[in-house]
Amino acid sequence: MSNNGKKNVVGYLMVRLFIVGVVAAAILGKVDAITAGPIAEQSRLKEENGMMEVLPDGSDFEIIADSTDDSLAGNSTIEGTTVKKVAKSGAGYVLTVLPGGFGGDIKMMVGIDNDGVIQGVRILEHAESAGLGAKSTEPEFYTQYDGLSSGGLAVQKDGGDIVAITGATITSRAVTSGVNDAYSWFETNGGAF
Amino acid sequence: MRNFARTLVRGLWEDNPAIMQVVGMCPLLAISSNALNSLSMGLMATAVLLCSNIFISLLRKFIPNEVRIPCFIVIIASFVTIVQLFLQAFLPELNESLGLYIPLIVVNCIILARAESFAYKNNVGLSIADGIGSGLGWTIGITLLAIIREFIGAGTFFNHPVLPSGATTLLFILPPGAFLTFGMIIAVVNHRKGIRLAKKAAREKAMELEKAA
Repeated sequence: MSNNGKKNVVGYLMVRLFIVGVVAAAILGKVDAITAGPIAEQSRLKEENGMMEVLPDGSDFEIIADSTDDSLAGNSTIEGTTVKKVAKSGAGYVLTVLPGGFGGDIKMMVGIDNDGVIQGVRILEHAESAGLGAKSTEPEFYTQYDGLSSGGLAVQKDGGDIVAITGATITSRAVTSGVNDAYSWFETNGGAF
Repeated sequence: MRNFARTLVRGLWEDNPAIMQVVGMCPLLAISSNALNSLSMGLMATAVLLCSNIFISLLRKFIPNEVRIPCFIVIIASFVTIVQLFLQAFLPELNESLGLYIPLIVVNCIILARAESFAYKNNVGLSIADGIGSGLGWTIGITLLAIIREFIGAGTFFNHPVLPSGATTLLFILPPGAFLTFGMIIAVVNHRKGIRLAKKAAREKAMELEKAA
């Protein structure tokens, strides 16, 4: 085969590259088959734990709006807002909000009880700078929202009471606006569901 | 066996990929604001480097020279994906803090550099030594940089507070701090190397003079 000129050399290179690609794809497929189940389980657990953390009195959560699921009745209430998902329980609501941060959207959860008091805020996923915006995942920052009952929160620089993370005003503003968006959803729709 | 040890040590210090060869800068500068993350990232990159070195060395007769780079990329990207999937599935805590950086290992040019300049030309044993040596060498570089930046910038050592909160200089955990600190590390290392070389040259000259006399 190697003596048959240039055309076959190209063919030979293509076959070798093709074999490497196919074997790699087969191995990845196998690994994906092994890990897909546990990964889905981890993400479900994480979401459930998050809900329990931001609304400690809640149980038996029921999803009433979800931007990725068209069939839900509550979806019209979250259209055009940063609220992406709403879960209802006897004690109140847990909202998943995606405000834009410094390194892209921040995925966070806000728990509001039936009296309109913020029970907890947690950052689930983010791409903020390590050592700066990433500090929004620490209790020192996110517990400041606990017990507040207002939709007009702002960081101190903007005349509010929220103490921003040093060097990460953009992240602090984003989280605060996420809480505000969640609260305004609650004020408009909280009683209806 | 002596070659194995020599290859291993060369990656650790003499040809340290981070400090001496200055490769793998993109993740090195980006992640080094926290020592624990840096150490984990370094070990993760070492694992990928070791696997890719072994496979590329084993396949070096099978992979034609003309298409070696695409083959290397396929092999490296596959290992990174496997590491990421396993972390997501079985070590969610570690994935939490590192998940974002793992895809960066693909573009860590140290892995491609070692594949191209070492594993493709040497046997599996030596490639293992080179993988471990270069990987750990890079880990030492990034962790050293991160310890300094974290200490000055955040006042902590592996997340344990050591400096009072007023005594920190935030600049050092911001991107410019990475360049400043890394520049200083290289300056110190080169300075010491310069002194050593100057001493050696002086010694040789003295010997020559002695001979002449």
